[in-house]
Amino acid sequence: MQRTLLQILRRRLIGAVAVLIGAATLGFFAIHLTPGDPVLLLVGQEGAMSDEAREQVAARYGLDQPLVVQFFAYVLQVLTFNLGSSFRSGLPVSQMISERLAPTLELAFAALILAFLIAFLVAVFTANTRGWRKAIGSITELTAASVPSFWIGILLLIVFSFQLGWFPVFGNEGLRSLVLPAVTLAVPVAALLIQVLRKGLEDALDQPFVLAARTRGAHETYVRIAHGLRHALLPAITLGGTIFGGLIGGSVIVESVFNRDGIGRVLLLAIEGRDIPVVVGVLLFAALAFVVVNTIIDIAYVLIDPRLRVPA
Amino acid sequence: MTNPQLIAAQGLKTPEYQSKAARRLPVPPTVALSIIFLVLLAAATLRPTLFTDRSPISNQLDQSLQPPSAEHFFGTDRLGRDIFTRIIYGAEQSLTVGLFSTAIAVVIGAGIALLAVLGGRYADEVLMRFVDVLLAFPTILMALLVVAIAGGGTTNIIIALAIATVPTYARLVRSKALEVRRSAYVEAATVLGVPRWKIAVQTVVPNSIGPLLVIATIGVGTTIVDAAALSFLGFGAPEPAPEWGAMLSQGQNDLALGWWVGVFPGLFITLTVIAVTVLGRWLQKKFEGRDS
Repeated sequence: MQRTLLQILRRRLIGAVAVLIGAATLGFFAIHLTPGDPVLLLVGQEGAMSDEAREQVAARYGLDQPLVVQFFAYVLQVLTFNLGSSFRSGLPVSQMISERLAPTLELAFAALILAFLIAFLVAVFTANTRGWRKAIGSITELTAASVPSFWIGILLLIVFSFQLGWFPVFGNEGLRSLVLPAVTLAVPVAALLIQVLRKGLEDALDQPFVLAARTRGAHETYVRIAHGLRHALLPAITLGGTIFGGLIGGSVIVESVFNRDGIGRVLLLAIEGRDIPVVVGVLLFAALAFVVVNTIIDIAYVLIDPRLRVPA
Repeated sequence: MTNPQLIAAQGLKTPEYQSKAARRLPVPPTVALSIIFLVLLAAATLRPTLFTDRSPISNQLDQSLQPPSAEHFFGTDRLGRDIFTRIIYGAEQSLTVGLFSTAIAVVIGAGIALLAVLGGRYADEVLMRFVDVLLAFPTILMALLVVAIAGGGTTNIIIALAIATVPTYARLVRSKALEVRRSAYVEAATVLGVPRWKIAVQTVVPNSIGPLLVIATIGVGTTIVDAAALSFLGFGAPEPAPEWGAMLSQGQNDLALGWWVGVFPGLFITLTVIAVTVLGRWLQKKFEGRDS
């Protein structure tokens, strides 16, 4: 078991470095492909600059070096988790991200729990059924997978904020302002989970141990939850990285709909201001988190499923 | 890379049961409805005047925020523009971006995958590592990066979403091509002495691309949502162009005054994506055997 874990860790570490180098390359090209002089972007004033001042700024940020040197410097910098500084505010990108991380994590976490709850309910209720229950399952899944999250947010706002007045229209204050954004972000994730859990549950319900439980006279709902769901969960966990990506990408939209503070907002402001280091930084952060989540899942998998511990 | 539709498309079970009446139709009723809806959208794209004789962009301030009525089916927005008319004219934008972006992504993705499969172990390793790196980025973030560099607008959204979805298609085609290469008919061709390149062109390529087109149909739906999201965030075609996502973000300030501005454009995005997905899943079931 120890050996397997070490192998996984080593493979994942190489993968993580590859992703970071790839992402850094992408980021470097992004910064240099952006039209306009980076020096002017750094200073934030266009045209009104003497050549001398321009050279000073260029030297300070290493922009006077040959591109190849700049490239390797940048990749090294990223590998040490230094994401550079904002063109606009001059603040380190990592600081900008960590300061706004909490509201986004709060939102993502709440949405994840909700998505699992919705998917559990739908899967337990509709897996391996016929007629109207099956139809409900299919329609829920298809709708949840097709509906754009910003529209869900707007519909929720119309009904629960403007008509009923139950929840605030925007903001970050308190649990009440978290409800509608979390539901909005949960729907697309739930769509994915319903697919996987339903399929997993249907497979599990064909297993001999389910037949055995039924023969003992166990209630159908109990069989589904206690015996089936545990098996259906494993394939769902493999999708952790994808789900995480969906939460991060989705939070950009949800934070915009509900005017919430968070990483998504940082990213949108950066795009509007052409603040490429910040845009690249958020992207690098998302990619890194994706790798970390996948690594944790791989390790958890070995710990949960004893069959994987057999040395190859 | 987040693409629930595409991931979902790979492991689907669809109902086998059909009523007697349904069996007499050439396609299931849901598919028939989807096709009708998409044909109507295509008609709206090609000839919007068939559906409305109003202008999608001229303001009529005395008609500001009128509720739905016989005159304005879906009401009017803040500037007094007829929302139904704007939705009809907006069909073009959604369909164009969805189709073009997916087409570009499929062609490039398939190209990368076939290079990887046919180019030997070294090319495969390098290209697929590269694809894996790109897969670590959520689609919408990747598209936003391109928009940040190149700016917004319809063309740039098409390019941005194409770039963001290329890795998914590259992975899909590669696994399909490997499957085909291991198949009995390729083995037969090899044994018969057919040259490698000929097997590639005559057998591997056509057999890998068929299923890809089916998956791409579903991908068009996902791309339409993502494109609408980018427009919603303010990076689409500039005002006053009618675009469903942008209509929602403009309407968001008026939700307290009129619910209709926030309902109908989103309804059309959703219906379009459902129609495309139903059609794609049906094609998939039809072409990839009963039990996938």
